[in-house]
Amino acid sequence: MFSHPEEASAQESAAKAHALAETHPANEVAIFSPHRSEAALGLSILSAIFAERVHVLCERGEDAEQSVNQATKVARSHVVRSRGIAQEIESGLQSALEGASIVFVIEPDEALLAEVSERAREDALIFVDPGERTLESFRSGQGADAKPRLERVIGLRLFGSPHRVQGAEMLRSAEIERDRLELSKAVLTARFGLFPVEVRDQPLGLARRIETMLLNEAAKLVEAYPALWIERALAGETGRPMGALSLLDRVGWEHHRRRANLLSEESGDARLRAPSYMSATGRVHQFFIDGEERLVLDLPSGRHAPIGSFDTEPLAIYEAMRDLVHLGRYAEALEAVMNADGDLPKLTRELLATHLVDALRAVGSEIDSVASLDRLVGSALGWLPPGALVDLIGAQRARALIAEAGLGTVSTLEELGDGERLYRDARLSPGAFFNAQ
Amino acid sequence: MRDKRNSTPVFLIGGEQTDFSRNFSREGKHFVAIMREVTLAALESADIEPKEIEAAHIGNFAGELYSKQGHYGGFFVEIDPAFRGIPTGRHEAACASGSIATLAATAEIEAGRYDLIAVLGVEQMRSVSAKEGGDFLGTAAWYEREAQGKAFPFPQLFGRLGDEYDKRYGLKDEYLAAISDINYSNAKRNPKAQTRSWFMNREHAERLDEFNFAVGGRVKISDCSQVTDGAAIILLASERYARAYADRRGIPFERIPRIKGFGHRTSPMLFEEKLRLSERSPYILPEVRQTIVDAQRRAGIADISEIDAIETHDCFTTSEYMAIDHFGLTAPGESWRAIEDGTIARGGRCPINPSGGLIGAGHPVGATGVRQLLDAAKQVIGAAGGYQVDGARNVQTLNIGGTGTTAVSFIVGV
Repeated sequence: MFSHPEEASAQESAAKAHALAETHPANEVAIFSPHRSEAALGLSILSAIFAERVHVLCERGEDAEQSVNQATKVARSHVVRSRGIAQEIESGLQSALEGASIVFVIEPDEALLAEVSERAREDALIFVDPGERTLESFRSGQGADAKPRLERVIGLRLFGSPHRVQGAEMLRSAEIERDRLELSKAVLTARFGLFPVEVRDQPLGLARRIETMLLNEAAKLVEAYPALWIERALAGETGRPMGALSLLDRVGWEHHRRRANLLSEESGDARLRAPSYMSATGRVHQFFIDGEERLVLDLPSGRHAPIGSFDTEPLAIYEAMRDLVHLGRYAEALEAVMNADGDLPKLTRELLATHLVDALRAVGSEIDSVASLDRLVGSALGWLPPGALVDLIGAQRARALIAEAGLGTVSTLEELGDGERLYRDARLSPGAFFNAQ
Repeated sequence: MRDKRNSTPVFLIGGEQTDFSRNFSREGKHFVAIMREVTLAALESADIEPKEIEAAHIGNFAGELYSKQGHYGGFFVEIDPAFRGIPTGRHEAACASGSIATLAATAEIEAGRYDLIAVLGVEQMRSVSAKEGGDFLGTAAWYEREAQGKAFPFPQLFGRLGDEYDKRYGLKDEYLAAISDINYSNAKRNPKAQTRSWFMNREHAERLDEFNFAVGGRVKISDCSQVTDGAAIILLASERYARAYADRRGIPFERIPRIKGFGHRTSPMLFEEKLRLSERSPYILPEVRQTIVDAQRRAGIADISEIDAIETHDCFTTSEYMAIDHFGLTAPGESWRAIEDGTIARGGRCPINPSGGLIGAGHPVGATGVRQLLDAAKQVIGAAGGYQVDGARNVQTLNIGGTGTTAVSFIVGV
């Protein structure tokens, strides 16, 4: 009536999460971040809403101080300052852990994690953001006097500042009890507004892998086609917050190269390696000082050129898609590129097919369900969730898309009947991912 | 004046709202995109085909100003080819536009003209600067006498409401801060609320500083609802349709929410005139009080004790403060009691704005009245998730246009 059965179930979960979260004390939070980070910034803002004391600890005291000051400005509230206690990790660790019932540790080394996991209160919920490492990689305790107590720690990979990006990956060691996990999820949802999704513990995590694989495909295409074309081939009209190459610039070539090459070495698949032109630090886009004019990489010349110097005629299809997105006609926008002739629409279809395959093949092995995958991709990356993409173009079309790209089959799609829907998250409307700017 | 109790119930069989934290303007979307998204989502979740909709009423305050576009009824037809040919129309009563659209739809169902009508409230406000938007909002008051040339006229007018309470009964700002805190806190449980990830707590709401500054007399930033883009839709049905729908979906008919009663009154435009007329009344806005009582009487409800929750028009904390005694939760001038004893908080005897209200959930002007009804319906069927009021069976709404010029109230129940 007012909700899908799936949403009804989600609503019931939300109510239970709030009730469960209220059973855990929440007067004091500690956030350990050796260096200033977006994660620490967002966590300190969110913590100051409900906690009387919020410890922010960095390797250098002045970093902690600046972090609290910045959080105050971003939150637009002096309450963040008044509740925030900026400290150096070395001198402040003990006092912070004495009172904190919720503890975050952002990209620590083994020694810090070992100390926190040993000295935190018995009832404390301890979350560690392992960055690009695995949770399991901390187990040996290399370089530390003692090993981290992984039975007390839950992995929580964040994507930017949590007060803006609600997606998160949750990792658990074999020792974590189910009750502790459920309580942790409830607290993260009810207190911090996060949507944690459990994924298999692996380097980079799942969302970054999906992101890296797609960005790398786009980056490789710049060797054969104008960068401006590739930028538009996968942008707001297909459900991304920005063009693929703009996103690549934001990630940073160095980070992307490292991630792509890791995936390539891990799998033994040379196709996953970053393209050779990315061996040096660079950007696809550059701006004049006033930020007004955008220059785009012209790979053959090795220089950046004004947009006007590129052939933009093939981009007409994306203008047509943009007009449809402007009016909320998202399925029709995708239909337009599905049916269009020409190299560029074909590239868009191939990129979408690659993305669908990479994402959906993770279901079962790296993430439990399409629903969880959609939640992760939507809320962590801000991309149109794969299930929503399939629903908008139809299961039959999705299968054809993948076949056209020569990528085999995906079992999730093979089982999907015509008219049957994959996307079930009523909280994240597919329309929110399309952009017509 | 004739006083006729509702003889033909009108049923709410579906609805949806957009996420009020979205900035459709920044997404590059036309307001028809907002209308399309919410309508198709509602039809899907209710399992109703577009061709079943027989008419549509649109609530929108100032599309000509914000979007340089009128004729919103025509845009409903753009949503789906199946809507071509159906009768549509747009209604305006400032912030009560959505409720007025609802009244028009209920009248048509009661008259037996149609069995299924969509009521859609929509506003796109983030397409202009804050200063320009403030000026546009001034047209909900008497523009040339109350708003023209003033930076943000409405905070000043509702600050004046607080001053009047202070003058007649005494008013401590800490009670306004409490209202703000409750509504922001409730919003954190509402996945579609505008402010769900914003920073707010009691301590911040009580501060007066560079971040929480006064914008109109005693009204600070924390006391104000914020503009946003959004839409809400409800699907209203006749009993005949509702019974068939219940059979088809396997839902007990008794479980379908219905509009049990309504109230609707209009006062003089000028706020000072309203105050002058109420000098001898215990209620500062007596027509608002009467609107509420009319709805209860039409619903066959004796008084507020039979209402389990309220969704009221908290464009500012002062307007919620006013609503508390006007609903009869306390004696006139004693709204502070219901704040102090927890009556209006979550878990209280009669929670106000469990959705977060306008302050917490957001206030896309034309959508608000419809959103209130949608939330009321969700409450009485137990579908409000994290912001559910346990055991709610009757929920009353209050939607105000201007400075209390238009007042509309509904009672939704099972």
